[in-house]
Amino acid sequence: MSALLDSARGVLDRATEVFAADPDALALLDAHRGRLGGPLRVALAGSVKSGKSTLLNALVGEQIAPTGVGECTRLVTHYADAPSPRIGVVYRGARRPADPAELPALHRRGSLVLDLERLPLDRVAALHVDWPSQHLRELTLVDTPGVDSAALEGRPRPWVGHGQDGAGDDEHGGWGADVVVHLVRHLHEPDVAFLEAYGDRVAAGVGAAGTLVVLSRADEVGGGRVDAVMAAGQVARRYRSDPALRPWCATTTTVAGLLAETARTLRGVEFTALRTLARLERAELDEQLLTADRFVAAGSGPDAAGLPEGTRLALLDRFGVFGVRLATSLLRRGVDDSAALAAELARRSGLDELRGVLGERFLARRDVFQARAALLAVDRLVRRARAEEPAAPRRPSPVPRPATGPGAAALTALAAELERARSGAHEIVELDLLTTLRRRPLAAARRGSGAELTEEAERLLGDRGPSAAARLGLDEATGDGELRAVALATLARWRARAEDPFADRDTTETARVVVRSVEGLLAARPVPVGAG
Amino acid sequence: MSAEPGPDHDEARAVAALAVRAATAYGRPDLAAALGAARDRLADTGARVLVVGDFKQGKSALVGELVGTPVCPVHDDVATRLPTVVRHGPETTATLVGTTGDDEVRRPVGAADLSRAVTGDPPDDATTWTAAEVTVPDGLVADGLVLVDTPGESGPRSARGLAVRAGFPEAHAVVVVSDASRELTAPEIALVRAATEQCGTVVVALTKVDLHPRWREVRDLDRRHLAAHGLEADVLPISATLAAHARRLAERGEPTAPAVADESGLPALAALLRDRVADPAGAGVALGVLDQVAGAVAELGAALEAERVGLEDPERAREVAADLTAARDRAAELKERSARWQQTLADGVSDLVSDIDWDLRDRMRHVVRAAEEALDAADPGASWDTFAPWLTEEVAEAVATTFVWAGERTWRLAERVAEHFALSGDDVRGRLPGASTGALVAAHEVEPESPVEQTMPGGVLVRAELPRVPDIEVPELERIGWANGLVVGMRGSYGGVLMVGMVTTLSGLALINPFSVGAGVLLGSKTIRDERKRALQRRRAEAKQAVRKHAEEVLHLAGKRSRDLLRDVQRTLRDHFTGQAEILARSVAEAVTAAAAAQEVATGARDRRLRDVRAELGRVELLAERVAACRAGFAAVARSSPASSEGPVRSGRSSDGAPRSEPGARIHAGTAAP
Repeated sequence: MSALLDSARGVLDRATEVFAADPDALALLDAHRGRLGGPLRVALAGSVKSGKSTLLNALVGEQIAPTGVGECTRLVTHYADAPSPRIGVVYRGARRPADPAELPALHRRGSLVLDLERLPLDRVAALHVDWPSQHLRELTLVDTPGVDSAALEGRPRPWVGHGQDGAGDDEHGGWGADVVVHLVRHLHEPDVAFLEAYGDRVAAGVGAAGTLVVLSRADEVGGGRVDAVMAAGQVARRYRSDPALRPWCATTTTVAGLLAETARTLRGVEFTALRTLARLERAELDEQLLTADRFVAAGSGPDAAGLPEGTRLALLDRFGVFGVRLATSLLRRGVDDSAALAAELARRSGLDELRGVLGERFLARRDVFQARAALLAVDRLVRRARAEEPAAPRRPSPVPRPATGPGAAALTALAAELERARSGAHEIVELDLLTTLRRRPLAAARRGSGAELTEEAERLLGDRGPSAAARLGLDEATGDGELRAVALATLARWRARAEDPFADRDTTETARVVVRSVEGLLAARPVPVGAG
Repeated sequence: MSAEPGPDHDEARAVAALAVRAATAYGRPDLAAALGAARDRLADTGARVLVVGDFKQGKSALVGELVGTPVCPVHDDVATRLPTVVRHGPETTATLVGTTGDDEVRRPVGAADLSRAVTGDPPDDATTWTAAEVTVPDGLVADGLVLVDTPGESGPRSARGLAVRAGFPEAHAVVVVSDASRELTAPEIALVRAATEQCGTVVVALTKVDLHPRWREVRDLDRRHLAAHGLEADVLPISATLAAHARRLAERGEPTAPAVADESGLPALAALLRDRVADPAGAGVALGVLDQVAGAVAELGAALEAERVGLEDPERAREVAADLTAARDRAAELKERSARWQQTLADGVSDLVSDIDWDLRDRMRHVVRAAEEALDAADPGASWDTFAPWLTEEVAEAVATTFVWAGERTWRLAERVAEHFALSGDDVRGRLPGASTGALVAAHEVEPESPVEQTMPGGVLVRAELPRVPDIEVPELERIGWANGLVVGMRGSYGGVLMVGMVTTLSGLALINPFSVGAGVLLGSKTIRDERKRALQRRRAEAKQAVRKHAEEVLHLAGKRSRDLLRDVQRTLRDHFTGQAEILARSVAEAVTAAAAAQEVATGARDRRLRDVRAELGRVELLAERVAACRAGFAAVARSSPASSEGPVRSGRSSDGAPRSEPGARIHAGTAAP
C-alpha cells in the first residue's frame, strides 16, 4: 500500500514546488504530508446532543471530551495521541503557527477541563488536544459542535469557510477529516434531510464510502426498556437497506453512547453501588426506577440502601435510567465482578460492533483514505488557482507576460500528474466508485435484481474490508485453492458483464473496475502448484 | 381527570336534551332533528390543539395520555406519518380519511389497522390517506377540545414542516413537544416562534422527564432560550410513562393513583388547555346552541299559546288568526329566492369570488416580481437549489394567506346572512302569540373558531382544504462546461486564426503563424466570455419563464379551490337557512291549525283542554326559563374570557377585517373592506 502513499507524496512535492509563493497553500500541503501514514482522522458529526463527545470518550476509554446537560462542544476539537497532554488554540484565518496559543491542561475527576471562558469563540477555528492514549494511536478524533445549535445562531458556523467541507482544513474552517462518523438520534426523514443538507457539505471530500451513520443514544429507544439497544439494533439493520440513506453512508450501526462511555470507564465505587442496588427487592427497585426523580428521591427515604441522593444522581449521570436498569439486571443474573460487568455493558452498548465496523471498513484502508484526502487537497488548490487567474484584469497582449501566481503551464502539468496519480491508484478508483454506487445503484441486468448486483459489486470493491476473502464474501480461513476458484468464477462473470453489449454504461464501467479488482487479488495470490 | 369544566356545560346538555324530547313529544320531528344536531355541537367546540415537534419526542404518547386512552399508535422507531385528529364521540372509533381521485373516502378501521396506517404502512390500495380520525368518549376531548397529533416536524423548509405550520392559523393552542434529553434546538425555537406568531396559546411540553434526571436544568435552559428570543411560552415537564402507570394504578383502585398522576405533569397541562382554550371556546358554542334551543322552545310554545287564546276568548282568537295568516305568508316568503337573506347570500358570494381572485393574483404578482428581482441579481444556474424552496415557500404562504382571509370573509358573510334571516324570522315570530323576543339566530359576537375549518353561525361546518402547491419544475439551465467552452472557444479562435492568418499570408508567412495563433487565442477567449454572458441571460430568461409558469399553475389550482370553497359555502348556507325557514313555516302552520281547532272544541271538553294546555304551557315556560338562565351563565364567561385568555393576537382580529397573517407591509385595503 505504501506505493499509494509514495505517489501521493510525489504529487504533494510537486505541488509544493508549484505553490512555492503561496504560504497558505504550503501550510496545507505540509499538513497533509505530515498526515500520510499517520493516524486516520475521524470526524464525529451530528446534531446537538446526539452524543458525539460521549462516543468520543467511549472510543478513547477516558473522559477527555467534556459532556453534560447543556450543549458542551462549542468548538471543533481535535484529539490526537502525544507524549504529554497539551491544548492548543488555532485562530480563524491564521496559519497554524509553530507554537499555537495554549490553554492550561487541567484535570478534574479524571476528565479534562476545557476552560473556554476567556477565549474569543468567534475567532477560534479549532482546538487541538494532545492526549497520551494508546486508543488514539490509530485514530485522531475530531469532535464538532452540533449543527442545529440554538447558541450558534447568528455566529459563523464551524463548517462554513474556505474549505466548506469535512476534508477541508481546520485553518480554513473544515475539519481535516479522512472519514466522517455521522451521529443521528433517529433515522427518519429529517435525519436524512440533515444528511443531505449538511452531510453532503461535511463529507464533500470524503464521500459516502467514507461516511458511517451511527444511531446514537440507542438506549433511549422505546423509553429505556432493558432491551432498548437490541430494538435499536433491529432498527439500524432495517435502515441499512433503506434507499433514502444509501447515498449518504457506507453503512449504519447502533451505539448507546452513554453506556459505552461508562463501560469503558467503570469505577469501583460505581460497581459497589450497583451491587447494593441489585440486592434490593426486584419490585422495590423497579418502583424506584420508574422515573429518574423517584430513583434520586429514594436516597433520602427509608429504603435508601445506603446510597444517598448525591450518589444516586451521579449514578444516573453516568449510566442513565436504562444503564442502571440493565446493569442491575445483569448483576442479578450472575455477573459478579467489575471487569465482567464492564465487558458485558460494552458489548451490549454496541461499542464493540462500532469499533469492528471502523476497523474493517476504514482503518483497514487508512492509506487509501489519506492518499485520497491529500490528492483532493491538491485538486482544490489547483482549482482555486485556476479560478483566480481570470480575476486579474489583464490587457490583451500578444506577448505572454510573466505570471504572478503559479504559471498556467505549471498548473496544467500538476493537474496532469494529479490525474495520473488518481487513476493509477486502483484503490482510490475503487473508493470513488463505491461512493458513486451508493448514489446510483446499478440498474437491473437481464437476470437478477439490480440491488443484488450492486451489493456484489460493492463487496468485490472492498466495501466489507479489503482482504481477498472479505471481497469474495468468503470466510477468512478459506483455503487458497477455493479462494482462487471462486475468484476465477467471479472474474468470468464480471468480464461477461463488462463486455455485455446490452448493459448500460454504468454497469459496464463498474464491471471494468470490478474485473480489475478481482484480477488484482488473483495476482497477489501465488499460483498453486499443479494448477492452470 | 375531572370530566367537566363547570356545571354550566352539564346544564346546557340537559336543557338541549330536554328540548329535543319536548319537540318529539309535540310531534315536531323536524325541530327535534335540528335541536339534536345542535346538542351534538355542544361536545365539539371546534377548538383545535395542535401537538407538534421533532420526530420521536413523544407526541403520540402525550396525546394518548391527555385523552386517557392510548389512541395514537406509539412505536419504538417508526414515527407517526398521518396526522391523527382526536375528537369527542359517544364511543371509541377510528376512521381513516383519504381521497381516491377526487372523492373523499372515509373508512372505519380497527386499532391494528389504524396503527399500521398511521405509522407508515397504509392499506395497499388506490386511496391516498391524508388523516386518521379517532373519537373518544371521555378525557380532555369531552370538554370539546380537538387534539391533533401531527407527524414529526423537521424545519420550515421541509414539506412536512410546511404542512404542520399550515395548521397553526386554525389552531387555538399549539403544544410544542421537546424531550428532556436536550435543550431546545434552533429549529425547535423557530417552531415556537411560528406558533406564537399565529396562535394565542403556545406551550412547550418537556417530555420524557422520567428518563432524564437533569430535566430541571434542561427546563431552565429552555426557558432561558425562549426568553432570549423574546418568546412567551410555558415549559411544562411531562412524563407520559408515569401517567400511563398512574392510569394502571387507578384501574386497580390504588389510592396513590392521583398523586402519581399529578407527578406526571399531565393534569397540569390538561388544566392549562382547559382554562385557556376549551372553556372560552366552549362558552361561545354553548351560547349559539342555547339561542337555537330558546328559539325552538318559543316556537313550540306558539301553537299551545294560539290554542289557549282560542279556547279562552273566541273573540280575540279571530284577531290572532288574522295575525297568524300574515305570519304564514311571511314565513313562506322566507323560503323564496327573493327573500332578503337569499339576496345577501348571492351578492356576497359573487363579490367574494372576484375579491379573492384579485387578492390571490395580487399576491402572486408580488411573489413573481420578487422572484424576478432575485433572479436578476444572481445566476439561476448556481442559485437554483436555494431559490426553488424559497419560491415554493413564498407561494405557499401567499396562497395560505389568501385562504385564511377568504375564510374570515366567508364567515362574516355567513354572519350577515344569518342576521338578515334572523331579522325576517323575528318579524314572523313577533306575530306569533305569546312570543317573546327570541331570535332564531342571535347575532351575538362569537369569534370565528378557525378561518379554514369553521362552524358557521347556524352551526354548519364548512371545511376548506388548502390546495396543494405543486413543486416548481427545474428549468433547463444551460451551463457552459469545459467541453462546451472548448467548442465555443474553437469557433471564435478559428475565425481569428483565419482572419489574421489570411492577412499575414500576404506578407509571406504560413497561415498558422505566431500572430494568427495569438489572434485566435484572443478572439477565442472573447467568444467564450460573450457566450457565457449570453448563456447567463438565457438561463435567467428560462428561470423567469419557469417561475411564471409555476405561478400560473398555482393560480389555476388555487382559483379552482377557492371557487369550490365559496360554492360549498353558498350551498351549505342556503340549505341550512332554507331548512330553518321550513321549520319556522311549519311552526306557524301548527299554530294556525291549533287556533282553528280550538274554536271547534265542544263546550264540555273546552275546560278540560284549557287546563291541559295551560299545564303544557307552564312546562314550556319553565324550560324557556332554564334555557335563559343557562345562557346568562355562558354569556358572562364569554364576555369575560376572550380578551384575557385568547391573547393579543386573537383579540384584535374580528373587527378590522385585515387578514391576520398579512406578510410584510402590503395592505389590501381595497379588498379588505367587507
